[in-house]
Amino acid sequence: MLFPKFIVEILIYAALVGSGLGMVTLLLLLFKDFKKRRIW
Amino acid sequence: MAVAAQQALRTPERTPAPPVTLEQASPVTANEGHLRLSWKPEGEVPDLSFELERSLNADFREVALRKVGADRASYVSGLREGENYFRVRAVTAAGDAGPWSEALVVRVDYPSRRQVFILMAVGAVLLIATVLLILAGHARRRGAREG
Amino acid sequence: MDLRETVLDPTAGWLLLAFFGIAWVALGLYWGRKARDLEGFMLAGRNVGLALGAATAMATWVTSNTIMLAPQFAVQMGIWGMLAYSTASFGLLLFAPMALRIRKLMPKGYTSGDFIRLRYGRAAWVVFLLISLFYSMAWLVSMGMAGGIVLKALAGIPYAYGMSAILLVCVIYTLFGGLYAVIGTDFFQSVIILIGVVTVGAVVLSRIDVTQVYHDVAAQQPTLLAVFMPVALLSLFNNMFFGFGEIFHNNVWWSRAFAMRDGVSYKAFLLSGLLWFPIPVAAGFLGLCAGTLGINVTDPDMVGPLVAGSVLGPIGAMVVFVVIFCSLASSIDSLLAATSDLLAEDVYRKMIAPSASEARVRKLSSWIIIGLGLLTWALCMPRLNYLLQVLFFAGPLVGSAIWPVAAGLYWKKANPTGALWAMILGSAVGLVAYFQIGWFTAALIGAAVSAVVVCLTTWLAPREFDWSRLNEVTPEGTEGGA
Repeated sequence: MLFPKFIVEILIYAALVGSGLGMVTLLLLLFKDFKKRRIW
Repeated sequence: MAVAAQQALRTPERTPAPPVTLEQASPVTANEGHLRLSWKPEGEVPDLSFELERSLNADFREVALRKVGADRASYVSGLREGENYFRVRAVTAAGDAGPWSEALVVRVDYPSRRQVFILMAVGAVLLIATVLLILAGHARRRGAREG
Repeated sequence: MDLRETVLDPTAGWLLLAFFGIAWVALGLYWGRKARDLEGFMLAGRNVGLALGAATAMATWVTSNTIMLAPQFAVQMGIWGMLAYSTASFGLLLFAPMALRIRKLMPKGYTSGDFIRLRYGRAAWVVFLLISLFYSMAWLVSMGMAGGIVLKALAGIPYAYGMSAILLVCVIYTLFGGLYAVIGTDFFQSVIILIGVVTVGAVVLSRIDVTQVYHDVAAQQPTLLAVFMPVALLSLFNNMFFGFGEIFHNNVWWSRAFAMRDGVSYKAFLLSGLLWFPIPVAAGFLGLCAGTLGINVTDPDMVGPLVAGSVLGPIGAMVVFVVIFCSLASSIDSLLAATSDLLAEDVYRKMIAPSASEARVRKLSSWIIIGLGLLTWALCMPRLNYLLQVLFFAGPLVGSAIWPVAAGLYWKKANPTGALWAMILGSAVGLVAYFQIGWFTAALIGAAVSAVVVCLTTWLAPREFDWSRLNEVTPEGTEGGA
């Protein structure tokens, strides 16, 4: 039995969107830390 | 095979595609359903491309054909369990196809279902136990200062 | 390799290498001003914020393996292969509560070795250090070799030069900047990696039709899409426990836990796990697209760069090149730093010269980094391909450390001798499983045997432990010492 096509599609799109969101999150967090001067 | 016949057919513009020998380059991974195949044409003819055929039947009744281009190797994967038959042939730039190579048989034996279920069960139990160990410990000691 | 031509021009390759190499070294020197004392050098002043904390954990865990191996897993083991790889992120997630606990128990702690020594005693400590050092060297060597191999395949840069260049750059900026440089560069690296993966993935998706890919794979490589794909399913748990073992035991992660500011570590590790989770699938699915794109795969470890280069041309090759450089550097620098910490603190200060001053240990750390770099370089030079496999041997070894560490943190009555034997037996049985059954079972079996030993010995022979013993104070009164 094979994985249905829609599952494969969801996996791929979700992974790419997730990675993109992750990048945005990191940048936003850095900005937040930067404004409060507590990067490190 | 039939070299004389091939020589008789040869004209200056159209050299026929040579026969090919097919080799299995990585037998160790066959039982995981993937391996590297490589081949050598007998006699160098310029601008050769190759075609690889895979079948679950020894007579190549039903085939999956793959045009491989100029490479002399290909990594095949996703193979079904059992006997997988492969053969390859050369194609000249003019489109003449040579004879198919001798078929190579690759036997793929996946781990048994029993083995898979046992190990998956061990994995699941161990995962739950490990997660419980950590989360229970974490919950118990939560009240204190965050670090 | 049967690649007819390299994907990127060697000149372009060298230029990129030089650009990033110089940039990273410059950053290392700049941040090195903060890394003067021991706490600065080893633990970035114990004040790292959430953004950098999450970024460094994620970037360090993205190795060149993630980028190269994920497509390879997809080619060899299909959908479950990619998902199995993603489970390596669970280790980061589970480490979040553990980091909290570690910081609470050892507010001035330095290394994972410190914990094992104080919790379980010398014998367990020695075994633990051996496991950790073996794994760290295996990881370092595999990264060094991967760097040389990839740079050669992508841009025709000769193996010896590419490998040496990457190691040299990493050694230099780690040497001068310590954990500050490691974590700082990790942030840039994590963003670059994510941009690269998303860009290549998005462009590939725009050029191919997933429906077509699905049908092609179903026709040519049917078991890659199978729900019951035995080896892939087995590798699911194996990968997970390999990941648990790597993260729970290694000083790379413990040093980060110690380096973060109060209140940051839990969120940072959770976030890093979430950030990492989609990457194997985002990078891996390229492996499934090769057939549809008419690409003949001759070596599965190059399928990712091949597909990227085929779809995006030289730009794609450059993106892959930069992403690989970043993932290599982000791991190599962490390993150099954390392993030198372990050797300087645990082996030198705790075992050999307990009265050594901080300044002395700081200086020694530098020398050890250089030494590790040289040793790695020497092991990478002959390009023995089977050394790349040695990293997989580490699976049962690090797997056997999971329960000793976790139980040691949370169970007051965990038996020290039990922990020692758990690591020994887990490693031994796991290694046997590696050769007798398959690589895709070794870490799981090693972890399972170890867990059983820990549970049995704790149940049959519990030994009360006083948690305050973990909060070591030196004669100087400031941080953990002999």
